[in-house]
Amino acid sequence: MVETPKVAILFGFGINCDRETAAVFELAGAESERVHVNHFVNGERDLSEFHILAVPGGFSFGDHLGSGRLLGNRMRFAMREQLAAFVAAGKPIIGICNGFQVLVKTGLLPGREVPDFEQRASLTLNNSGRYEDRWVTLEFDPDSPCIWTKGITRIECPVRHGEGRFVMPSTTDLDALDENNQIVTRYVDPTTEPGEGITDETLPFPLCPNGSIRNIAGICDPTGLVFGLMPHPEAAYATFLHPHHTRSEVNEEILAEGMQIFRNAVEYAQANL
Amino acid sequence: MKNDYGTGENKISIPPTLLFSLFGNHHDVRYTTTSDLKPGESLYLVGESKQELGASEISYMLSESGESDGIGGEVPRLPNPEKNLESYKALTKAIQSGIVRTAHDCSEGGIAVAIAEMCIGGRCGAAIDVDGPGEADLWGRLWGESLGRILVGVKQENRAEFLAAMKGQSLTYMGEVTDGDTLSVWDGDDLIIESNVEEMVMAWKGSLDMTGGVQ
Repeated sequence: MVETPKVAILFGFGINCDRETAAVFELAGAESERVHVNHFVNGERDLSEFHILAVPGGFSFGDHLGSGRLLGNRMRFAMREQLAAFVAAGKPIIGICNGFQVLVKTGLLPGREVPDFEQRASLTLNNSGRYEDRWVTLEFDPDSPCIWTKGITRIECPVRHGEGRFVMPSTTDLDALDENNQIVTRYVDPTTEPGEGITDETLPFPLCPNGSIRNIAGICDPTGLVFGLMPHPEAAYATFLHPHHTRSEVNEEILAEGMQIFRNAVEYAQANL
Repeated sequence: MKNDYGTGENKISIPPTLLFSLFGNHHDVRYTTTSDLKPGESLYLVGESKQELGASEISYMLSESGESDGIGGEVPRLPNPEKNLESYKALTKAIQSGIVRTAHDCSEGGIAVAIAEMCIGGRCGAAIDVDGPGEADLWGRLWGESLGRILVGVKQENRAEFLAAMKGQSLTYMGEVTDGDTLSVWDGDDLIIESNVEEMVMAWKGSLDMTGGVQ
């Protein structure tokens, strides 16, 4: 039984959301530590010291050769054993935005029950052809095994990316992902009833900000422990961050719905590790 | 600021513009205001409109189109900044008590442009009357750029509390946010400006459209 799970927050090489990601885990009751990628690579630190791993957003390696490609390779080759052991130990991993791109390119997402570090999907250029910075509405698959999203129906949070269009080689791959309930979260039309927004047909811009197939915003691995998403729930941790927060009375509740994702992981670690 | 966006034929260049930004610490960021009008608000002007059209946007516009000469008369002055500070402090207190959620400065284009921007931000209509105290004529009250003025929106149920908080300050009731989609500016009984909010949005945003009409 872990009372205060320790979270490794990767930083370095252009990751730039490490501090806020560390902060939300602290708010959720964990102990965060920002660890430079190289410290895991050169063996100064080991992932086994931690209960949760977060790969934050940013522009790792300047997005050269494609978003997440170089950090993905670094983790795939130089941290392979540590990562495999981490997953085997049943410890949760989250990748947000660039971190999601990294986990996809590392091969951890959509992944296999036992990681084989083969890339099976990609996140590529937005259909709009440009970087999109806007708030979106997300809905979650209630039957997903994802431990990060339990009890969440719908949240609003921002996307900030140029390469967020989720693609896979064939519809068979997507169907398999769907059947496993690994399509954890999708962009939805906010005018639909909560719980009824999920649709396979790609929604028009800007509801689906990047043209993702089946409006996919985030997926998990078959175990539900590894989760990645393009939107930034850590940037929706407080009610006053919402762009419309002044349009209503002052909200006495400070923490917002985005926090639930981080609380879920902390509670999971407390109960299971 | 200089800003290019897009590529090739699709490039939009913002002309180099000098921008001033002010930064400060907030006790509680939840108790802040934005310029977009919210439904059910009454509108007040903090500060005074004087006959100060000198070097204003409207005078430049009219002089460029050849409709007038000169710079438009007296330029804005701030003879008594202590008085401004006092009303800002009162307004700040009102904002920090949570009863004011809407405020916007009056700069280029004066009150007429400020209220238009507030309608554009809130995507809602408003009706205001610029007739009021002071020596300024209609031009001065519509387009004048007198310093230190703030247009404020207050929910109707908070009006009494707001008036009490602003007691002794220069404050003029201007009008109301409406349920309609039109901005109406009155001078007493005369309707001076009537403008559809969607049309104003298009005028403001249209020149930046690179999406082929998708918003």
